[in-house]
Amino acid sequence: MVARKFIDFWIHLTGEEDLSEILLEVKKLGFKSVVASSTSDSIYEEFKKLGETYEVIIYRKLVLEPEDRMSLLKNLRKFRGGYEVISVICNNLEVALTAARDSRVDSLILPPGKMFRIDKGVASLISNSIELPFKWFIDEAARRDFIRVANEVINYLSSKTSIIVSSYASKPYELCSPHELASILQVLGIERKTALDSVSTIPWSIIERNKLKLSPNYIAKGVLKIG
Amino acid sequence: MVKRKKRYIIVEAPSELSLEVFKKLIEKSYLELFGEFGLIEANLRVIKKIDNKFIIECSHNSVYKVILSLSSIRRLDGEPVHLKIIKVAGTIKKVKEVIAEE
Repeated sequence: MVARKFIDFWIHLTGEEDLSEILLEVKKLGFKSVVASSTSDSIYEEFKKLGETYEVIIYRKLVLEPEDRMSLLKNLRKFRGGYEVISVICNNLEVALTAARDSRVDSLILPPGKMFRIDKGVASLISNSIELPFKWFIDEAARRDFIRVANEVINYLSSKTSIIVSSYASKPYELCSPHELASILQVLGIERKTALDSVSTIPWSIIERNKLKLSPNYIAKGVLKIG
Repeated sequence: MVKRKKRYIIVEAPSELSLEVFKKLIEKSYLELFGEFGLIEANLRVIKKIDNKFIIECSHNSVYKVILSLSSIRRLDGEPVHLKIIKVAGTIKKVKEVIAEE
């Protein structure tokens, strides 16, 4: 049996914490790779360099939080080529419906305090993964709303699309092991294998797909320049 | 009578944490998330403390609930705390082996 390669799909670097401490914890918890968003380019570059020392592969993520459809589309046009992963925090239905069907978006994040319901419209359009940041479960103030959103996602969207669980940690003690991340899905009724896929094979397939798209040999879907 | 399957979870915690405090902490967290019925169903017991490691016994179909309860504990007396799950084992023999290896 091949061992799973675990990946934390979202770590947020603020620059306040010791980056080597974060990487050491990531390594201890059994992750092979992390996807990091950062407040500045220099922090990310330093983190990526340190990752080589700790043998953790680092990928870059951009998290967009647009107000409306137009600003989402504008940002996607501007940034898609520069990041391995793009996630969208959907604060309203308009953004959720646009992000759900845009192939440039990799994952949709539904915040705990969202003011719209996941309805048939979203469910029928969705082609991108849904991401559940575990930090909102740890945060006691947001926990109840987060569980409500996670439950909605599993009930209405799990048959339509894949679910990813990430830590959204910015401090070492906020990091969680892959089994801790997967346990939230198991509690909500997803079987163990699928729950573990949400922290391994599903995010890996997104990364692999995007790495190919960002390579200079990529021409179009299914077309690659050889030699 | 059908014998209930058990699982043992080895958890690493700060060494100053006593068995009693740890027991209260995990029970409180489990109770908040899954209620009284859940707690009874889980058959949750903290068996032993060896150095900074605690051994928790629970029913095999509540393991992931216990893991989730453990991961929701992030603060103790206002200070950040991280309880690290080292291993989930099916027998006490395996637990002893893992602790001896560490």
